[in-house]
Amino acid sequence: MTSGRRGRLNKQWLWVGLYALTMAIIPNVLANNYYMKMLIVLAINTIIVIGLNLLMGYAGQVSLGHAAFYGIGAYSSAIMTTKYGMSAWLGIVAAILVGGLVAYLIAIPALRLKGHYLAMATLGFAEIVHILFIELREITGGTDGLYGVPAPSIAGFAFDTPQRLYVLVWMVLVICLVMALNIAKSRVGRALRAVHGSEIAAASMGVDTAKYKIQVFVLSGILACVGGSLYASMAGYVSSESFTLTVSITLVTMAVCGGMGNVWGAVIGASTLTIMQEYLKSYNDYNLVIFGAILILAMVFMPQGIYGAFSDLAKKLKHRLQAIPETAGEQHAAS
Amino acid sequence: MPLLEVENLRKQFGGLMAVDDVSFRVHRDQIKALIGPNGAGKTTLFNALTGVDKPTSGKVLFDGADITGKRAHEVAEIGIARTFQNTQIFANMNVLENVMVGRHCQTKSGIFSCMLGLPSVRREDLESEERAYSLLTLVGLEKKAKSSSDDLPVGERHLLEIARALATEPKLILLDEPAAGLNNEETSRLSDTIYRIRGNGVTVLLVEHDMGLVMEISDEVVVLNFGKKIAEGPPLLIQQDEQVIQAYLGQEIEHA
Repeated sequence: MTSGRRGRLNKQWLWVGLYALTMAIIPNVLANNYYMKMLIVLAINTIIVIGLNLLMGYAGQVSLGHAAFYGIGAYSSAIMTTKYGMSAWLGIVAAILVGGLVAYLIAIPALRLKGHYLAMATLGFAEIVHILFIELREITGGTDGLYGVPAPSIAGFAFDTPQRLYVLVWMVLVICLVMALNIAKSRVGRALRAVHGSEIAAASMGVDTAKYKIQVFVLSGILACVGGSLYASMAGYVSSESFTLTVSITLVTMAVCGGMGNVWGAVIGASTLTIMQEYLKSYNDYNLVIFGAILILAMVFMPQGIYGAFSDLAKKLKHRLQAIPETAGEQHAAS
Repeated sequence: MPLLEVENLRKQFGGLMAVDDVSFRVHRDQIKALIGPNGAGKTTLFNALTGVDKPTSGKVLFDGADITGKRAHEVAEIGIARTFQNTQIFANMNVLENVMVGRHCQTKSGIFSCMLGLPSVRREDLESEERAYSLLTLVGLEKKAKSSSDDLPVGERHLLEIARALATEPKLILLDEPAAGLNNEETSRLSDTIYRIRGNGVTVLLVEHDMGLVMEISDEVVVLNFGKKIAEGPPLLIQQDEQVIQAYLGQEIEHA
């Protein structure tokens, strides 16, 4: 049993390696700025959805306000770099600190709420934050936003082209993925799933449910802030339009469609829908309608998401394949 | 010193006194049963003891320490584990993982060390897994370790909850109708399991409707009716108690 578990873990890291390799190779095939920017957005979305999946899929706490953390990350970076002349690295650190603090302060009252009420509270929070982005003109630049966000650089090497920035974003993504996978299979991951499964039973097993709900909310908030900070570096500017309710809903759709309660579900959901979104851009006004329709269809036909649907399929195929040699053997014996 | 002392415990829901001035003691290595007609307040009492609900008044002493009003996860850490009448399985985890959640009290890795996948986390995890597996063997579910817990029939859910509660390494385990949904053979296996639990040094307090089981395994029985304690003593005396007979027969007549 022990060796079986080790074997499973190794297989997981094999997938991580394969994924990291694929993401590293793609830019060599699609070497133009348009695709590079799309890949950066894809990677940023994946980082955010990994966090959202830990919150929603593992711990069962719904957030319809993650665009707020995305925005807080982007604005913190932009403000620190453009107004206070800090380096982009310190911008990311600031984004993590500010985002983590805000998430913590929001989590304490909000996570006393359950289900729809929590969803409404996070929705309200995101709307307030969005209004603040517009109204706090002195700091945020109001509707104009902030321009001139620098790219991070190490010892004179600046991640200033899409190709270069992609390498950075890709590395951050792989780190986030490994950390999320580690949490998922650990004691803390089980505690989060227990909170989702039955809060009363979780508490009776010694799980401090309030503590874990706050921790995972802060963690997912921080991941969204990291994403926002990287986004600011890529775009070079931030404006409130990038952090609307639509964005929150899109992120939730990615988490749900990919498959909740599995880290790879987040990777699949964010990748699939980011690419789809890119191709749907021409239907500008109908974008949200199409996304809503996808969400509904996914809930009806693939309640376990793309990941769940495929892993079911794989299990069935495996059973079939195992069944074939057996029946063939029986036929031999019969003849 | 008794392991658990319940003193004048009251739990009021609006105008209803669900548990009314109940006192009793559970001694170390005892198997004690809590019986009473439906709605007598047994589960409410369990909830008040385990921090799921705060008692309105009264005291709960465990191992000599006052634990009244402690939160559910603190009560678990102190050494009281429980199962649920309406089973509360973590349906999103397999059978083994369910039991591993019970190991939460016994392990320490925080979110940061888990995130980094430190060797200490892995060591703890393997220990938890082995302990969980041996507890599944104790209740006879080891063959289903990797099955989805959602597929278990009701009887096995109760057994899984027992294994999960034992994983917290409690001094006292509260079983809420563990025989519900079990057939005769499974019930007799359950009584073996309960004896084995006691044999491992865990005191047992159970709520149960299966009188055959209660009379067979308990050292002492507490009878509740309409939130009040109406009798306490060894099973043989309880069976002959006027008030107890009346409480049960009275209910039967009402039903008919």
